[in-house]
Amino acid sequence: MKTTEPLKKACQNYEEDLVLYYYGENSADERRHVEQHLVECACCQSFIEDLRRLLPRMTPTETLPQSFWDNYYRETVRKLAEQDERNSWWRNLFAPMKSWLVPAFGTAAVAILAIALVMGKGKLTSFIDRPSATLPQEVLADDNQLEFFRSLDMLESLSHLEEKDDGQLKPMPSQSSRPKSEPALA
Amino acid sequence: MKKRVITIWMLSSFLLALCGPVLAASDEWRHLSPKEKDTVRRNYKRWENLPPQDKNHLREEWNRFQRLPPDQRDRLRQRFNEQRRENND
Repeated sequence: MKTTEPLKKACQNYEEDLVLYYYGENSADERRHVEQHLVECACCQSFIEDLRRLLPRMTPTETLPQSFWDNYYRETVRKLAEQDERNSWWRNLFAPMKSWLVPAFGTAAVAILAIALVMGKGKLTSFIDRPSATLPQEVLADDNQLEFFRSLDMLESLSHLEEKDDGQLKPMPSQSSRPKSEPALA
Repeated sequence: MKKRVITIWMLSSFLLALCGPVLAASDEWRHLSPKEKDTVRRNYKRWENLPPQDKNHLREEWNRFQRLPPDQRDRLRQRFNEQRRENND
């Protein structure tokens, strides 16, 4: 259970120096100063002992074989070459063109688009005809409703049309049951 | 890779938003002539402003019309178109 014990507290002024002392990264003067302090201070002694005990476990050093680094280098070069190849296919597409050709083509394309928009205004609007601007989805998706709205004008004068029709032809059996006195809409 | 996926996703969403209503429209709508589409739009607009009793009346007329035999429906449509042409002339 010793491994789960928290790190003991060192003197606040020495904490940083003690870590550097552990790694051997402070100057000779600082080192001497820390060592003098360690003789007198039990807390800092336990702190440095804890560092010696815990830090090697936290940073296990693994030395990788040279073959790994050789493969790593080779793999990196291969991936970079692949990436370069992938990025440059479209550049190669335009590579034969002279540098002024690309902006020239761009300008020509914009000009053609502008002319097409101006000349073919009516056709373009019918091409990108968006019914939803005025009609809800349920009408657009329902054939019955579409037919209803298409026939609305006729429905308004249906009785009148039927009267004319009845005048010329014999009444149909289905017509006999319907009311004749429905008012036409204004 | 992530950038490419995001770009494709954004482009698809944009296209879907643009084409969604057109895709949702029925075949019948797509086969209507521009003039007929205008008629449907105009009539729908008019329908929205109609009083409820007129709407009911038109619904009844529609149901009645639907119950008529096909040949009579065609005849009535034909008569209506003739009448409209006469009025326009």
